[in-house]
Amino acid sequence: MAKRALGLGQKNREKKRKVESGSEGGSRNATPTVTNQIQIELGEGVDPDNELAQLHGLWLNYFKSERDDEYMLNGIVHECDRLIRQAQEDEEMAKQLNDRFHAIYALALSELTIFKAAEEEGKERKLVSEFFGNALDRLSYGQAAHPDSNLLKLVFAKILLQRIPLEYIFKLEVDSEEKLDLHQKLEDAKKNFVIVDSDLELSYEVLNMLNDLLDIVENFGHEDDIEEGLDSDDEDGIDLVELKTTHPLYQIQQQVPENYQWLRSSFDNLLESIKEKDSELFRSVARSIGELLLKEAEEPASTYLSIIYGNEDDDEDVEPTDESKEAQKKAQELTKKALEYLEKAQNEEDPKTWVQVAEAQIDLGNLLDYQSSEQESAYKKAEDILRKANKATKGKFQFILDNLLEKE
Amino acid sequence: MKRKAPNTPVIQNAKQLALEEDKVKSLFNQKIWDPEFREQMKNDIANSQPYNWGTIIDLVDDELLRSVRKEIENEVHFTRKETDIYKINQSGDLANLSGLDWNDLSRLPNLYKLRQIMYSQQFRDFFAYITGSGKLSGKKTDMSMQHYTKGCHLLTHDDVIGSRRISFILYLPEPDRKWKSHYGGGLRLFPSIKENIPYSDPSAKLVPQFNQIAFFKVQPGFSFHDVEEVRVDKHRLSIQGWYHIPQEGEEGYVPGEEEAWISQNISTLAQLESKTLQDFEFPNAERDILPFHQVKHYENLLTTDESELESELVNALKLTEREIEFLAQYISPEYLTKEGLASLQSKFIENSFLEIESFLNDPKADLLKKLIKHVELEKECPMEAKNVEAPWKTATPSHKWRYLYIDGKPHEKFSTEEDMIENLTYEESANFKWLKETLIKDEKTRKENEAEIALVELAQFFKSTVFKKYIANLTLLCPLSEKIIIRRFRPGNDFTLATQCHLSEILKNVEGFVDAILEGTLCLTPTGGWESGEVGGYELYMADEGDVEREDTQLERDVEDATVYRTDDTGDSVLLQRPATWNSLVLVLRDQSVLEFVKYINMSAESSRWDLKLQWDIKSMDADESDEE
Repeated sequence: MAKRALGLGQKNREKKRKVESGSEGGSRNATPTVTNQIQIELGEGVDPDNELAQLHGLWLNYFKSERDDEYMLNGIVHECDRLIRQAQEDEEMAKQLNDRFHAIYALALSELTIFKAAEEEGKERKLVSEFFGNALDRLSYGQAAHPDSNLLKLVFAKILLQRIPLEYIFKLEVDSEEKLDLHQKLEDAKKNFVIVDSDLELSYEVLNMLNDLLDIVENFGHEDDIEEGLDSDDEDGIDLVELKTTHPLYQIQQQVPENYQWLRSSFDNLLESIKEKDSELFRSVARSIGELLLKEAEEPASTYLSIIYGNEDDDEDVEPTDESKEAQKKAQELTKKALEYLEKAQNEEDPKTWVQVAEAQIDLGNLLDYQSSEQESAYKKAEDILRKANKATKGKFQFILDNLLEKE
Repeated sequence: MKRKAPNTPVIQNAKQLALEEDKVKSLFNQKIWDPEFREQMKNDIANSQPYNWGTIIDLVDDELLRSVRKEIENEVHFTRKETDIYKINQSGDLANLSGLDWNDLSRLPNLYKLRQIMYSQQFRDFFAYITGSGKLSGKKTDMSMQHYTKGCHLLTHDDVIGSRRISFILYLPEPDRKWKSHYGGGLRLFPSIKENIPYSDPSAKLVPQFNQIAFFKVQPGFSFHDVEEVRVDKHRLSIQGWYHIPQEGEEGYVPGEEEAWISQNISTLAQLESKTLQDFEFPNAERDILPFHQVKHYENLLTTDESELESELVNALKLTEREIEFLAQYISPEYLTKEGLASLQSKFIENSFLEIESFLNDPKADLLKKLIKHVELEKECPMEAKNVEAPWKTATPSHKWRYLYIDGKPHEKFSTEEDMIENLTYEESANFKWLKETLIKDEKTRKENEAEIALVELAQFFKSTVFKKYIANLTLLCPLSEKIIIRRFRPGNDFTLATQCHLSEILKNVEGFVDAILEGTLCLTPTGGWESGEVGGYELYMADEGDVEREDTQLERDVEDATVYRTDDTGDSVLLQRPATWNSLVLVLRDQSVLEFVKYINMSAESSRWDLKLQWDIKSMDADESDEE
């Protein structure tokens, strides 16, 4: 009983002492902790003894986690290997290896590249390349057996889009000239992309990968500026770096706007496919669309604002030109549309999502005629939202509110 | 916790090449050599608030400092360090530069030059004059670099270590861009109510710009300051340094002066742990001693064999049906069965700690979650102590902790030492029943304080005799005293620093008294995103491994003392680390060798961390306890 009254610190010292003197043998490992056992949640009506169902459960566990557990991925790969070996001897098992099995195998291998990239030093990522190669091999086995599988097409798109930055762009400089067919790889990814109703989250992830890729391409060559931290309130965006026509990213860079259009329309299709309008996925997709629309509005907005407000030294009112009117109209349309989506994306428990609406209202206000009632109404809406959000976040967005109030 | 003195300062080799006087002077902004400027500075510093401090814009040659920044970017490796008091990216020690070989030295020539001029006779004389500090050592140099990125911070401390006379920070954020106030990273200075009792709210804040220096006289017990959290993805680079008391052989050296200064500081530190100063800590560390007749119930419960149980008692739980019904108002049914309790009991006895998930039953948990979320999202949250209203209070002093709390005692708001003394004169015990009544004056206040009322009711439940019987049964320990505090840690503001627990001096001679306290934390944080610990808010128990002299405990707080526990994930010193969660109760039997803290909550956390902290002094009823075997 005396053991009981030992405090946590004393107990720790006693354990150490025992381990050091070897009197307790391997007892350090004797108490299993919760953390080294994985609990798999299976869907309703799923046979818990079914090995493929378990594998799927394990994959979902990883997919929905923070994705920082390489062991779990290795576990999935080993399990896939085992099932394949079993299938070679057991026809029943061979029949069970459906497209989802191959998808999980390829996805797990491709996800491992993230950990391999962190391990590898220098510009040659041999392991990353090897794992992507294995993932694609695995996928082609699957596609041979299941040629009509949309899921496998989606996984193919995912692997391509993940591979372009992680293996190729990573090693590029502004003056690189290597022939890498990156544009073709991107086109292949787009061609294979398909919304899979049973895997809407994965479909969303693949589109997000394209979104990230386009962002990387736009910022290519500006990595140092970004490292220093861009001003959130800096009004000047970053100009594209001029690349030679022989640069591996040249063609993709030229087609960034078209790719964004393709991306937005794919997000739109995805949004249509989501039945649960109150789900986090629905809100996330709506948010992505809203953000892309705001991005598209940046150029006409900047044209309009620089014509009307560009000359700070000149106090006189500037008469709108045809160019400014057209830019204003286009920017307004896009911003209003963005607002619709951002409103759909709002989560009543997440003030950040309200603030996105407020910021879009400010953008819209800036595009409306100076001191018009519409402008004041847009600013007022933004102000109300920001006040509410500041209350909820202990003042996290106070500087945005202060900027707005200065403007009014 | 003993905070080790830094590995710096380093005594410089006298053979070091000194720069010529003209060269030194030319590398500073020429205004500082102007007598008028010096007089103005001297005057400003003498009259500054909350203590003697100052700042100079564009201090050194712009080109030199830009080159220094480039060298740091290219050559210096920073490592992320996180302890209870800071999260910083920190470099090695600059004072050792002169000890590097030529090859290494050639990598940082501008930094080397900067250090030479900062410790040059001319600049030290200038500094000593404007601050009135007395002569400063040129031999004992003491500099390091900090790189604050998003989420980095350094909590309140007074910089008192060894022979330091002046602290300075030379800022190097990105040149050509203004560092704005809302980026965070400001140097904030705290006034003190009395020696060693800094206020919760700072009274001055400096927004650092490239090539700006801030400095202050190190004043034990007074020069409290912090670095507010950096809130944006930007690089706030700075060089921090200290000027020390002159060393033997230097001008201004006074035999015995350094020793006297250090020993005076140590005695100040000792004071901070003394009872007098504990009087000025809120919430007070004391626990209310339980009435004897109440303790008798727990004693009986723990000493009765199952075979002797009266018929109306439910076996193993040793509680009546009625008592179980009472507990079922709050506690999940699974923990009120014989098997449920037995399982908890064996885990606790095995490990001396226990985490009980979903401790409160669903109806109570759902209601509390709804109410707490409502407070988080809809109610204005005071961020400064001066705006905090009843029933909430602010934990003080700010070099120990800062958070909002309700402890069942009358409201207190401290502006002066007198306020604190008055509070001591009329000290009351916790009374949640009374407190609840004050919250329900009418329908309006009932509505306004809905969450607080629910939390106070929960505190009342934890104070009940029946709940303590449950705890006695679960831990096989007999409660002798108790303390219950409702706490709210606000993002961008709140924390506790690592402290040991104090055992009750009054109870320690009680037979069977256990040299540890039983501590429970019921975490009621209604949001996600805490798991990784990146936004702070986790509670950590760690072993205090040094053989610590008590008078130094948790006092020598400074940047260099590295009580780094997170660089090594397998770090043996961490005994238990739990992120902020919803509805989990952690019970720990905590002896005095265990330090505990709640990590500062980053601004980017989704909400405040909410919890109830429960503490009991305990005794063991086991007759064999003191036996040799």
